[in-house]
Amino acid sequence: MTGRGAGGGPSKISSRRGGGIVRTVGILVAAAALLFPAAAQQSSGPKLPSSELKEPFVFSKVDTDLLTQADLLDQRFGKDGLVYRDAAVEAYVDRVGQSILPSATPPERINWRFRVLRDPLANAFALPNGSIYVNSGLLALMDNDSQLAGVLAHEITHVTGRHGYLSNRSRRKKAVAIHVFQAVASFAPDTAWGISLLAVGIVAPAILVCTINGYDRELERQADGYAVDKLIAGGYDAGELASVFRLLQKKFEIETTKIYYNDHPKLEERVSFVSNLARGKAPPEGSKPRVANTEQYFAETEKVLRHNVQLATESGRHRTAVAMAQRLVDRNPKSSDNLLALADGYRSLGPRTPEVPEDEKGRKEVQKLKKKTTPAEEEAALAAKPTGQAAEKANQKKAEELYARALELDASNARAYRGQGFLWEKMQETTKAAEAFRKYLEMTPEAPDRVRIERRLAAVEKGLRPPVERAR
Amino acid sequence: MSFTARALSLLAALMLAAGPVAAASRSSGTQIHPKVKSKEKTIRQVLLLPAQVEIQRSGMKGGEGMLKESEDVSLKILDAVGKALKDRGFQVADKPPAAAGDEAQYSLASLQKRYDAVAVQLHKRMKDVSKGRFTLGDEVANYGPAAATDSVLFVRGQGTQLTGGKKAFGILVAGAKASTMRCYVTLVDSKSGEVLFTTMVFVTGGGFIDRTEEVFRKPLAKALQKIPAAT
Repeated sequence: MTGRGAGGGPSKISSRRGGGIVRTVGILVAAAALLFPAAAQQSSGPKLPSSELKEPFVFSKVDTDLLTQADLLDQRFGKDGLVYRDAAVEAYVDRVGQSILPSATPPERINWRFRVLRDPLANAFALPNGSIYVNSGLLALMDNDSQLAGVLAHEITHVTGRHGYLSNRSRRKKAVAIHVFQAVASFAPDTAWGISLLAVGIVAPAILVCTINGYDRELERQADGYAVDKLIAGGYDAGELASVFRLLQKKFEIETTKIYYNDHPKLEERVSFVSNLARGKAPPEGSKPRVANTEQYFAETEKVLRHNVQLATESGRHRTAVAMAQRLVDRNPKSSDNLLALADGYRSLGPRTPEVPEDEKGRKEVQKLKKKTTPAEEEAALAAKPTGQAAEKANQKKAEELYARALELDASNARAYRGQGFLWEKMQETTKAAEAFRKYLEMTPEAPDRVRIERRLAAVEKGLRPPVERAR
Repeated sequence: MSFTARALSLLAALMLAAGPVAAASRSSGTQIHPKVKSKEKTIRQVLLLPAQVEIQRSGMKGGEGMLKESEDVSLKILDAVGKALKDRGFQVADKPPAAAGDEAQYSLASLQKRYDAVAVQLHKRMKDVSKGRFTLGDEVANYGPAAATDSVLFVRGQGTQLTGGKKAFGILVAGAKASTMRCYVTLVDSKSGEVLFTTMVFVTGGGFIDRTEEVFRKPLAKALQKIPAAT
């Protein structure tokens, strides 16, 4: 849940301040120093480790508690349907991850797991127990296996360097009371995406803050440096890590908040740091250079990339959905499913233009509209404007063409008929809409959304408008 | 008085101040869709979706996760909601449906996310439910078990369990003085996706972890009284 309102409870209470604050602060500061001696020594924070610790890491109770929470979070991700399950995709990501793991036996209490998270936000993060998650949104943005290896190598360093534990200890020593719900609310104040980050925040605010803002600058540099070393040692093109940072600079939506993986100044700095580092290092003797494999990367991930388009649409990231679907079509224009994904993307765009118009970038009114309205209301407000109506017409035309092309390539693609049904229903071409819905129901008698489509068909036959339209 | 004696008396005062506070709970912001109020729409069956309740321990050294406790409380709250609904005469499935298979799990996750997207506004402007403002769309029926029922119930909660030190700090200086939880219970029409009913249960003084049912049942029952009976 990202609701700011829900987080408002504790914050409301904490905002109440009684009189005599100034008087009591002095007493309490002294009391805190007595009760929590560690807080008084905050300036001598933990010593930064090397990427692979030379001395064994000694676990304290605070660390084992964090580890327990991380294990529980792994289970939660699985149980809540957030982990993408597909044997081939899982095996591919694991294979790339294994290829850049440190050669030594895994350090104590680390069990390497590489998983794909069903989240359209371009992000990746590591838990201290060795679980590394790459969001489907980041997979969709990348071009080849070297880039994936670079991201995984970066995250591996956070685990081997015990950065999660160290950040947690550091935060506790500084006695910084980060309220997880507030942190999450400030990150995603107006949308439901970034669901994985909320879950991370529940485990440990320290990890949430690191995932959103990045770890300490020194630790991030260390992770980038180690990733470059590992890529070179593994025969990958280390410059591809810099390419990932360049790809992350692409903006598809009006973002209301920054996160580390999408923060321009930091990314530019990282591009030059990694590029310089990669140029100055030669591959070890006898190592076999690998060519960045775009074809294989695409073939192995195509299914999850299509799934990501659907997730982006469901999360209200309509422009991202279209951009990612277009990449799919560019790579494999003969796939009926890819054309269908793009058609669905254009249909869901509704009154939005495929790219953020220049005059909307950074405009406070646009952000305000997002914060004050539900997704349906936002769409209705846009559709009421002449520009929105023009955009909607253009998107519908594009979607109509794409559905037809998807069916030309594969006439048995039932979901294309469903998409046509929705599109024509919106365009008030009721006869065609009813026919398309009937075709879909005939072709997929066991469809999980059968009841919904039957209701839509009945409504179309009665000449009723779609439910969302009526709700406006 | 020596420094040690002064420190010890201060510590004792703080411990005393941070002692247990009696739990209190109430429901507020209860709102009903005009169609339900006018009996144009009648709720008979309710499908309980897994509750999403998150609890955090908040101490002087910041917040810490309580994942295990959060899961336990989620189940207990859902149980309390189920009992309160049954007492009011609704047909309720005993347990939330276990999503079998990846596709069913994804479908349930999508439905929960769809609610969260609307909840951003809904939890801020609960009174707009009475104006029929909120809808999740007919996509609710994409989730198989939802298609076979009248309405779907969502539970969202966030709680903060304060440590003794944090309570003492709150009492003497500023900030939260007691553990609190906010829990939103919302009924959605499984056909149209319209939000039919919502309420928020606010618990203060703790008790939401170890006495969950006791703390939630009464305010829930009171809120549900506002829904016209099915018969």
